[in-house]
Amino acid sequence: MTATAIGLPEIKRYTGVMDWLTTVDHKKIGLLYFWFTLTMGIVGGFLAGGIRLQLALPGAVLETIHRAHLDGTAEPFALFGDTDRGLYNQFMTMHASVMIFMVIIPSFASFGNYLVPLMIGARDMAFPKMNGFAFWLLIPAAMLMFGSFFVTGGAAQSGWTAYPPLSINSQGPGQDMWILGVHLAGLSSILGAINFLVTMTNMRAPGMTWLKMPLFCWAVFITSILQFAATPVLASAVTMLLTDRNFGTTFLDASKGGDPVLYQHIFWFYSHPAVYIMVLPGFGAVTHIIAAFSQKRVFGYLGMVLAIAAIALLGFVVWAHHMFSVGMPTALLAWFMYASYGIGVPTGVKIFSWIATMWGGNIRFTTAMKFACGMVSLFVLGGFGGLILATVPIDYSLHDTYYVVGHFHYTLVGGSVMVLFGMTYFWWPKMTGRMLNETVGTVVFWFMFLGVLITFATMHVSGIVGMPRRIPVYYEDFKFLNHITTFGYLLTIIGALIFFVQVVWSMRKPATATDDPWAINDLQGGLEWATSSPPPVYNFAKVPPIPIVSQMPEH
Amino acid sequence: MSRAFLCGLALTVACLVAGHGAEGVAATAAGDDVDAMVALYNQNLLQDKKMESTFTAPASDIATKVNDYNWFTHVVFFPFLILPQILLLYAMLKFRARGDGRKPATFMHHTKLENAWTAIPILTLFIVGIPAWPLLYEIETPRTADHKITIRGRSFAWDYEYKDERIAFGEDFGRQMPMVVAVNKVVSLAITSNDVNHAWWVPAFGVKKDAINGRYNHCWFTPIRTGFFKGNCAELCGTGHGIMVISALVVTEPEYQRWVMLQRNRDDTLKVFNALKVEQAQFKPEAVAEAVKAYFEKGRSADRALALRYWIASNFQSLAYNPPKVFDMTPEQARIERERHAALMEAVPARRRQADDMIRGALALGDTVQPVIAAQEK
Repeated sequence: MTATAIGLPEIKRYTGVMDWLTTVDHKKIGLLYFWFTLTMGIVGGFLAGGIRLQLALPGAVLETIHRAHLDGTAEPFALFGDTDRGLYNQFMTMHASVMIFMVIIPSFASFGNYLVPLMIGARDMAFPKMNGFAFWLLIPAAMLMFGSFFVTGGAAQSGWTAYPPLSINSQGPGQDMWILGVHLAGLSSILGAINFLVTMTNMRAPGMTWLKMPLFCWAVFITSILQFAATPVLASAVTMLLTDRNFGTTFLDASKGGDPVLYQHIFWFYSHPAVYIMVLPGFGAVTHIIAAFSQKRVFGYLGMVLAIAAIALLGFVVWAHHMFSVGMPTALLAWFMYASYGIGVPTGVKIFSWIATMWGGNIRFTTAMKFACGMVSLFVLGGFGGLILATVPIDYSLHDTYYVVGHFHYTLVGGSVMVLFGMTYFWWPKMTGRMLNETVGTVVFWFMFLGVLITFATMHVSGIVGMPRRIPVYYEDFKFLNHITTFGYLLTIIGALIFFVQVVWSMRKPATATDDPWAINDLQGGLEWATSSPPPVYNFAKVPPIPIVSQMPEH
Repeated sequence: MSRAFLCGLALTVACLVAGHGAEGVAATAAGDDVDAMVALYNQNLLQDKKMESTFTAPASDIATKVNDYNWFTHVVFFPFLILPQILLLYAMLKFRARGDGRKPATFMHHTKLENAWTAIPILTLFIVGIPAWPLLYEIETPRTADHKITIRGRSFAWDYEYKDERIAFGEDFGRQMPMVVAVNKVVSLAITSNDVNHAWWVPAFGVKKDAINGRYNHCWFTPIRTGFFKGNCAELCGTGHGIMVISALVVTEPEYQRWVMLQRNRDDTLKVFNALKVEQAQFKPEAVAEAVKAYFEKGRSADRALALRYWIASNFQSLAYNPPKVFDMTPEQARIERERHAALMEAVPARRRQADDMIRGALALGDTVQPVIAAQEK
């Protein structure tokens, strides 16, 4: 029965490109997010390649440059020579900004958008138009960020943290464009979070109680609270930068009564929760993958939910562990040290629960499961580094060294990105109806796993022997380690490129995946497997009995 | 018997080591071997010098304690690094699907186990966290200092100011000068910045503080062995962040005192040096003699003579280590610039001899250096 037949106005429907540009369907928006973040991820990966290439060339070694000076020979070959160090800083800044604001945060919005309504038995998000708006905000944000490479003075070059006075002193509009880009990306993030919160609060199918909600939904829900509460704080911090730069305010100018450290506190008040925004959805998703392929139900569901909530809560009171060397009262240092330790406990609960979920199972090592296991392993390594860094006396020797870089890449790449790859292999059949080739997937996994392991393990060592971060040149002592790191990077980027090609290529194949391609639904009861692959626009013709299988043990 | 022998052996070794050290000090402290002094105080940061860090070769009391504590932390945390990996690997191997129709387990919770893996990590954190407290307070509580040094970061160099000694220095001929302190003395640093944020960090000392405009950050440490230690700015400060190097020289007390003396007399020597380093064609011994005379008119002592000789040698060495940057010149400009520098460097031994003669003459003859010049011109 058409709309006109029952007396409703005809709604204009587009097809093709216009359909994608105007869609408010959560699944299509989820896929838009996916393609956007995938592209940005490759671009961000190449920006990292610029950094790694520079640090592997002879022109990055201070001693070599010095000898060339003494001998009067030509400057040793480097990607960013003596006069291009600013461009190196631009690469470094944009690698981080793109990977954080354009890749990891929106990519969980991608899977969240696609899966959360399916998992809770809803037909769409609560605010479909706002959902589309949140995605389309990312396009101008990305244009501002990348466009800034082409303006006078180049892109922002004060790091993704943009500490003043450096970020205020820098010339050219690049830094302003970065600030506006962060504003737009932040707004997108806030709107997305509101949408998730409202959807999950109000639109759960009848019978889907809070404690029957799948863990991925819980993770997205708690992450959304973090985004909703913390992102406006980031906006306030970068707004101070913006007005200090352009309108003569002096919030952050010590010579006129401001305080540059104020910015750091406000910035990290957002950016510490932000690291959990970047990893908690992955925690949720990896639980699904592990349970599905262990052919078991989740171990300690309630503990997992509480652990995510505890991490989120503690995440708000540990921000200053990013700035131990900034000069703080000793009691504050002690507080931030012990509070940061505290986060280790719920994280440990999650790790052990994942292993317990596998325990006694019948584990099928699909690509997704390999990525899940790889993530658990790498995240333990990253978490260990985190505990070491949280210890103030030790942190004084590790702060702002490559140890920190290695640590957060283990958690972000080893943690979040590995899960994102696993999620893609796991849910891609559901999202597009196409299976991803398992053999190619295994190749991608080994490139990624070994690449991440090698790259960031050597970074830890570089930091321990004293290499500061964000430097385009270094002492000869670090040469060998940097060569290994760059080798590891090569493995990683090869894996990522194969993945990119594989995912793009899969779209050429017909959509043949079955509703429940992994044959897991009897055990897992995820509603997303109860509809077709890909699901129809309305998701469920008839909302199935909920839940098919509860994840909550009956006490 | 064997114990006595061991004690004797240890004593002998100790005496040998101490004697060797004392001998070195005596030779350099008493003597006026300018070249040895230049080699000590004006070391090239980029020479073949291994990077030492808190964890590889701690060189201060704090670094030693932090390194020990770091080992303790690692030992206590190690099970939490390795246990999940082992369990994960075990589960992956043991519970692999083998197609034998084995039914997967159905348990979903285990309260005792869950309590254990919540409580045991908390306990472990206490074990690690409790000793961190006194260590943290020791590091953070200011000490009565032997050296009070104000460090000012600027893009892209460090300025050092010794209030009690009334000396200040920073970059010299484009080279970052090392911070010099005496071994086993408490060094107290007040770190600030003239412009953007920097961070002062010599890894071997185990302390790091941000240099922030508008505030002074304090830290202290006691170097426990002599040596030349390198480091780098540790807070992104712009295009020169990577080349914003830091170096610190830890010397014995007599050497430190002599360095202070040299620093105090530094400014006056510049005029002599400026007279010396002009192009070969324009070199005028009279001008040098005039400058030497003016220098000694301000004060005449063996120390001042030594300082003058030291700074001349040291400045020439700095110039040699810091040739003109020709990377962004045209090839022709670069060639001329290099030749000019090479000619100057070639003339260095002769210049130093001339200067030495004049200084010796000035000391010997009292009021006038005129006869020395006459001797030169023969």
